[in-house]
Amino acid sequence: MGYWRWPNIGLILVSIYLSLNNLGLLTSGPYGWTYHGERMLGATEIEFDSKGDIRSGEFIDARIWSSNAGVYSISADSQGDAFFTLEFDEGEEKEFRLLIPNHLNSPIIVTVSDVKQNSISWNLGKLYR
Amino acid sequence: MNKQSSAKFWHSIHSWVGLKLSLLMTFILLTGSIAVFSAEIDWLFLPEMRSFDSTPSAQVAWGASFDAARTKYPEYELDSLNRYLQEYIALQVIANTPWNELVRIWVEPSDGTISGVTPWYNVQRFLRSLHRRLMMPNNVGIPIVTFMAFPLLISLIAGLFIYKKFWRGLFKRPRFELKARIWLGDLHRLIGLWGSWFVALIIITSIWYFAEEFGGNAPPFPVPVSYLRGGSSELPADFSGQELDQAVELALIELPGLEIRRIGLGETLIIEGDLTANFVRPRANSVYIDPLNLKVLGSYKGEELGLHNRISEAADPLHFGYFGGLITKVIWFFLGICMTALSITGFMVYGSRLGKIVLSGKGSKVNDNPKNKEDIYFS
Repeated sequence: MGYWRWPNIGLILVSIYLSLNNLGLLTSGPYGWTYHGERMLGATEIEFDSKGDIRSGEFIDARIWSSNAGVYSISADSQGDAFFTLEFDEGEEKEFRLLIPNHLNSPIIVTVSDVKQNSISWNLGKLYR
Repeated sequence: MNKQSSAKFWHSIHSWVGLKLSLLMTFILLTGSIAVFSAEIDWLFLPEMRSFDSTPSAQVAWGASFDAARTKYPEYELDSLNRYLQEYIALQVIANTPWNELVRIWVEPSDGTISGVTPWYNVQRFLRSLHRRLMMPNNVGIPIVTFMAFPLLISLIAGLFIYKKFWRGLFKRPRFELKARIWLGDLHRLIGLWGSWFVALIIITSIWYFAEEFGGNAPPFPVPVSYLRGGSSELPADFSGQELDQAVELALIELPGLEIRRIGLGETLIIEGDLTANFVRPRANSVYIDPLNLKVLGSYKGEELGLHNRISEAADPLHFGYFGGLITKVIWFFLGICMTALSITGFMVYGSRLGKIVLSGKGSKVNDNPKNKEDIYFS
């Protein structure tokens, strides 16, 4: 085959590399952020985004943007039991890892509350796995 | 050019074209062959896909399936309901999750019982992307893959030119008792002869795909004017399975005998299926229905499409081999493997011929005891 072997082998290797990439074996997947919408928490605008597939019992990448400074409790539990807090400056966006509850029977509700017990939520829907 | 030098010329063309791209060609042919059965491979891996009651097209519970998917996953945006040609595969509802993941909801077509949900990405998608575009972006991968039809065409023509009176070889048993170089050559010729029509078919459809990539694609279907004007952006929130069943009845009145294969759910219901035209995809027979008032907006049949559309529609069934169900798929798979074997045996024959030349230190005369001119060029 002479030098022709290199374009042959090159194209096959590229397609194998891209296949592994596509299967998520080399990277976390080709997904960008999914915008779930903006809500008003008192006088503060809060935007919530997630990244990638959402699977029960697994962590997802998430981020919140807040128009005002504040300390918020965040939970992905429909009961709001398991929460953690994050502090935001005005107009700040923070990325974090969010543990998704291990159930498929009811929708996943992400809830953000402030110190005055105001709360807003996003329904991420029922998971299928 | 005398007969011998003409055969030598075509032989050098055949082996040069065949050899230089043989690795990539083998890869594309092999992935394409396996892709014929990609739905069946998914069926084996995914129990959710399996349907055991062989529901005929007319008895599919479209409305109940729609209701079931919408009730169980109300947050998901339903895109379409799809009925595979194979009755052993469940009804498929394609949906988008709130986190933007495309999924397949599998439903028992007889009663709308949900059997499970699987990701959009499956063996079929994997093999399709690998075979069609080497996993590369469409505008890069498709031209590369479809361009391979041209060397394949040259190789086919050259092969028929060098094999004088080729019909005599149709029933010539490969001489397995002789050394590998000989019987591989015999086998290469035999497969090539019997499979040449299939090779030609794959070449023609691939050249069509190549042309489509460079602007030769068919004009849009004659969709109803009212559809083009647009209405609401998506399916009404209160649209029910009962209304979907009514829409299906209207579609069957509009195009009697339509075997529904897909219902697109959106601003307009697009009901597609198989009818009387041969070698067309289900989208060639479509009825457009307004989901707000269940009024038929328009329809068209495969026979009403122009020649350009018909050619475009025929490419997929002929290239994929699904038009006759499992029987044609088995034939296409077998012939695909034969094409792959052609590429491999051609490479091996050339390799062993080259090895012989190198070892013997001889020039171009390579056969130990050639009985005729063919043996020189095919050994």
